[in-house]
Formats: sequence, C-alpha cells, structure tokens
Amino acid sequence: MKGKKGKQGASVRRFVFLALALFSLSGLLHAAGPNLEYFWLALLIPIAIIAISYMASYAFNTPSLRAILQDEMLQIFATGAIALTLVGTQAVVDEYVTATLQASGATGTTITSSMDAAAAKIAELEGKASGILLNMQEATDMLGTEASRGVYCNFMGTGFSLTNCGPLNAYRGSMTAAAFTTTVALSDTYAQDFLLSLARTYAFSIIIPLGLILRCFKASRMAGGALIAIGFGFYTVYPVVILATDNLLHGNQATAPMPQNSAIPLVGTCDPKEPKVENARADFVSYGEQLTSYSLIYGISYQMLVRILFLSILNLIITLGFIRAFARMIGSEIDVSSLARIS
Amino acid sequence: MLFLFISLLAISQLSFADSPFTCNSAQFNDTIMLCGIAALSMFGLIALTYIGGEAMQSARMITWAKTEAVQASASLAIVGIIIFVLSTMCVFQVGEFKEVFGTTSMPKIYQDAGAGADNLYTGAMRYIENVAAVALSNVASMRYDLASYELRTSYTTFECSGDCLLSLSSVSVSPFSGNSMSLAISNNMMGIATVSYLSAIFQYFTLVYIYGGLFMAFLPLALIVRSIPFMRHFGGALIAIFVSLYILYPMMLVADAYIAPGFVANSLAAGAGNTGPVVMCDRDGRQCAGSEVFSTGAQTGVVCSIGDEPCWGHYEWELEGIPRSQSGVEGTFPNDLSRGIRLNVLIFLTAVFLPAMNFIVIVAFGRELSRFLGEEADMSRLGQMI
Repeated sequence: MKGKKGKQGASVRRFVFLALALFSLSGLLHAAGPNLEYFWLALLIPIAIIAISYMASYAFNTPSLRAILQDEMLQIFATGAIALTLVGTQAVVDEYVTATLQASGATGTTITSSMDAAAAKIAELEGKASGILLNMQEATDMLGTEASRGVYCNFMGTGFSLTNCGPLNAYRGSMTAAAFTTTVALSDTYAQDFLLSLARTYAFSIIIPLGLILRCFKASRMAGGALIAIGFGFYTVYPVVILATDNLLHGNQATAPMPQNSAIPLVGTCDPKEPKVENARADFVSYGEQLTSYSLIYGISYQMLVRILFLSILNLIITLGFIRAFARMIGSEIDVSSLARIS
Repeated sequence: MLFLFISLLAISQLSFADSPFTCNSAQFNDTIMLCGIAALSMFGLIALTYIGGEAMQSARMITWAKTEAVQASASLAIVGIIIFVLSTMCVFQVGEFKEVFGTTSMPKIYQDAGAGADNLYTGAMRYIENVAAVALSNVASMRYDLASYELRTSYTTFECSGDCLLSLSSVSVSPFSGNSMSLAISNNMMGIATVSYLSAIFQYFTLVYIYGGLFMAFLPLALIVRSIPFMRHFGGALIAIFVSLYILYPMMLVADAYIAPGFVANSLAAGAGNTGPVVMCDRDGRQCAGSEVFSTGAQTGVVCSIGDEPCWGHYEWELEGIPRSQSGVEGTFPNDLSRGIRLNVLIFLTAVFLPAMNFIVIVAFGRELSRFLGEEADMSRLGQMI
C-alpha cells in the first residue's frame, strides 16, 4: 500500500516537474518563437482520458486495465519530455543562430530567429533565380526576333531568300536548356519558401501538437512520432541546414567573395540585307563569344546549379535524414523517401 | 462488455444525420446489422462447440470455445469502439476547430460552407474537391499560356521596304519567335500541373471509394475473420486497414485543409522580400475555382485575376477570335513565367507533398495498429500511389 502511494506520488512529482519545466522553457523563447498553448492542450487531453479510464477501472473492478493505464501514463511523461526537448532545442537554436548572425553583421533587426534568417536567405535566392530567368527570357526573345529576320525577293518570276540572321538560332537551344535549369532552380526556391512558411505557421501549432496527442496512445504512437519528427524537422532543422549549407559553401566572404552572376548580353540588331557573309558571321561569332564567356557562365552556374539546385537537394536530404532518425528515436519507423520527390 | 457495446451503439445512433456518404444512418444500420449477424453466428458456433465439448467431455473443445468467446468479445469491442469513433466524426464539425485555433485560422472553404457545419467526412471531401478544382484551374491557366505562346511563335510579318512594290521584296520577321523558350518551359510546367491534378483526382476517387461503403463491408468481414482460429492476425490487419483509411485519412485531409493556407502565410506577412499573394489567371471562366483552399478568414493566399494587371489577356475560348495582327497576337499576354512557376509549385506541394506526408502518418498508424491487433500489415504501397 505504501509502495503504491509512493509510486503515485512519484508520478505526480514527475508531472509537476514536467509542467514547471515546460512553463519555464516557454519563457525563454523569442516573441517570434512557437506558440506553446497547444502543447499544453496536447498533453492534457490524453491525461484526462487516462484519468477517466483509471476511474472506470475501479468502477468496473479491472486491475489489469490499471496496469495498462500506468504504462500509458509513463508514455505521456515520455511524450512530455519530448515536448520539452523540442521547445528547449528550438529556444537554444534560435538564440545561437541569431547571436551568430548578429556577430557576423549579416543580419538586420527584423531577424529574430533561425526561421527569419532562412526565409530571408530563400527570398534572396528567389530574387536571384527569377532575375536570371527574366534576363534569359529577354535575351531569348530578342535573339528569336533577330534570328527570324530574312529577306525575300522576287524579280521576273525568280525568287530569292536570304537568311543572314538564321545562324543566330544556333544559340536558342542552349539558352532554352539553361532556362530549364533556371526554372527548376526557381521552383526549388519557391518550394523551400512555401515549406518554411508552412512550418513557421503550423508546425508548433498543429502538426507537433497533433503528433503529441497521437503519440500518447498505443495504437497511434508511430503516427504521432512521425508527425512530431516531420514538424520539428521542418521547423528547426530545415532553416538551420539552409543557413549552414549556404554559409559553408562560400566560407569567408571577405577573403574569397562568392562568384556573382552578371547580365546576359542581348544580341544586336541583325541586318538581313547584309550582302557580305563575313560580316554576318562576325556578328554571330562575336555574340557567341559574349554568351559563352567564362565569367558569365561561371557566375550563373555557381548561383543556379551549386547554390540553389545542389544545396536545395542537400538541405532536403539532411532534413529528411534527421526526420527519419528522430522518428526512430521517439519510437516511430517511417519511410520518408516519398517526401524527397519535391527536390 | 455487452453493456458497453450496446451503450456505444445507442450513442452512435443519435449522431447520424441524413447526410451523404459515411454518415448515412441506413448505411450504418446495415453495417451494424452485418456485424451483429457475424457476432451472433460466431457466438452460436462457440456455444455449439461448448455444448459439444461438454457432451463429449472434450477438454480441448471446451478450452477452444472459452478462448474464442474471449476473442469474439474482443472483436465486438473493437467494432463498438470503431463505430463510436465514426459516429463522433459524423457529429464533430470542422468549424469547431476555430474554438481551438481561432477564427482567423479557419479555412475559407469551411467558412463559406455554412460556417464550418461540415462534419469530418464532408469536410475532407470538400477540401479534396477544392484541391482538384484549383489543380484543374491551374491546368487551364497553363493551357492558355501554351496556346498563346503557340500563336505568338508562329506569327510572321512581312515588312515591305521601299522597293517592294517593284521587286516584291520584303523582310520577314517573327517578332515573338523568341517566345519558344517560354513555350518549352510552359510545356514542362504543364506536365507538373497535370501530375498535381492527377494526384488530387486520385485522392478524390480514393475518398469516394472509401466513403462508398466497401470498407463498411470490410468491418463485418474483419470481425468474422478475426474470430476464426489461424485467421485472427489477418482479421486484425483488415481492421487496421479499415481504421487507417476510414478514420485517419479523412482526419488528415481536414488537417491539411487547416494547414494548406500556411504555405503562403510568409509571403503575405509584411516585410522586405515578401512577395505577396500568389496570382492565378482565370482562363477558363470558373473564377479560379478551388483557389480558396489557400485562404482563411484573415488572408487571401491566391488572388484570382483576369483582363487586368497582372493577368492581361483573354479567356481561353476568346483566343479563337483575336485578330491575326501583331497587336492582336501581342495582346494574348501569357502569364508571367515566374508567377506561373510559383503557382505551379504551390499546387504541386498541396496536391503531392501534403498527401505524401499524410500517407507516411497513415502507414505508420496502420502498421502499429495491425501489429497491436495481430499481424503487421505493410501499407507502404498506398503511399506510392501519390
């Protein structure tokens, strides 16, 4: 009897400790940090259900049910501990990232969390990719117009066609291929932006609390673990990975600035009546040299292929890897490969 | 146990309204009757075996009968709980979430539909119908862009120089020939838009199939199978599949309806670099049907536009009548590429990414439940349908 009372007392103490810890940690979070009201709700609902079931076990005199409920109560404590870990980790990550960014002088006053910083980074990349695509569109539109110019003469029933500008068409295929890559890069940045937005808005208010509730019940424990891992992965790990990979890519900006893209040159006006072939050829070669110049291609390739495309895939791989490992750690075995198809 | 079962059924009966799909009382009565017949048959068989065991003094038969009686009661209890949960979902209104998350977070699609009076089943159906509709609107928008680019790239004009009357010489120019790059990109995006639409339609028909009652037939079948020795684990797996698809799937879709507007929340927030709402051009005259999936009481995530900035141009059927002059062809104004890509990505994430996440959760739930009830069911193939 004394042992049972001691056990119940320990449970109460654990719960009080959990509540106090959650309460005190929530104070550490930034104003921009997650809303924790729903965490309370997510833990209190299962506790209420267990409490009612516990009373019912006395009413129906089923001691075996009580043993099961005590185990389930332990799981709720474990879930509470997970909630604490998430909140604490998020607070620490936000503090660390903003302090680092402020120390490096790379952040404005509006950035108060890693999520803000990652969103700003993605917005910068979005601007870059859409700018390059617009530039390519402009260059190709002009190239197409000039390349299409031709002369047709008809004299005494004999017709002649002169397509001096036609060779410029040779560049259009490569430009389209480059634009495809840029489109994919732009799509990736939009996808990252939308995912960050979703995580910021609902990870800590719907996805994780729903996961916490589901994790408190035996049948839905794995599903709950999956939701918690997905929510936490996209809210906390994804922004940090976005910032880290981008910063690690080009290291010290002061000593080795990253290559920047320059504007794609526009083709000059082509005269279809130009009688000398060598002149038309000279224009063609000159524009080709401008288009294929090392500095132009190097800058655009670096920004599109490496900084946006490669890093977006890497970011997603790392985040999904974390989600899988974290889900396993909290008792869920999930296959996240289907989420990787957005990259 | 019997008392509990009868109580749950009695409560469940109170909750059935005459609504379509799952919450139709006649459909439920049929299912409950089938479950009752299955349970009675099983208990009859057990009773006969017990009597036979007593008559023949066969300890093995008596033990079997006692064991099966416990298992049949367990199956009955499971069915009772499932029906209770289903009936709760029929009573629960999606609008009640606003008490938890606030009115501003309530999806527009539910506000418009009788202030959130949908139950979880009709709410899930309403959401997926809207996703399919917005995916189709996007396909129409892409279709217009493709047609417009086709018109533009194939347009050629002849510029008559001074001596053309005498020599019939002229300079031919295709002023929009360079749009072929945008045409190729739009073609590529059309593929993604189609995938998104097919994914949404797949989910719509899956939901129709689930609601259609086949799984209601699964439940009595699972009850019978679970009560048969050597088949108990299979019966447990059937119940797990039933619960996952019939209970968790609609719940996840309603959760998606709540979180889908979150995709554009960042863009709408005030701040430098935020790009504002996503723009959809209404090319099929359906006022961008379904685009309210991304709106809540407080935000309009997708703005529908036509004939004005930024969606200059026409409805798609009007392309037939435009004059084949330079100004006429130029006036077709396909959507800005970046805007089109942004919309396409948003719809892809909603129609493909979110369902993929749903199925991860559903598969995890189904696996754990089936393990709990007997045999582990591998439902991972379901997720691969997305």
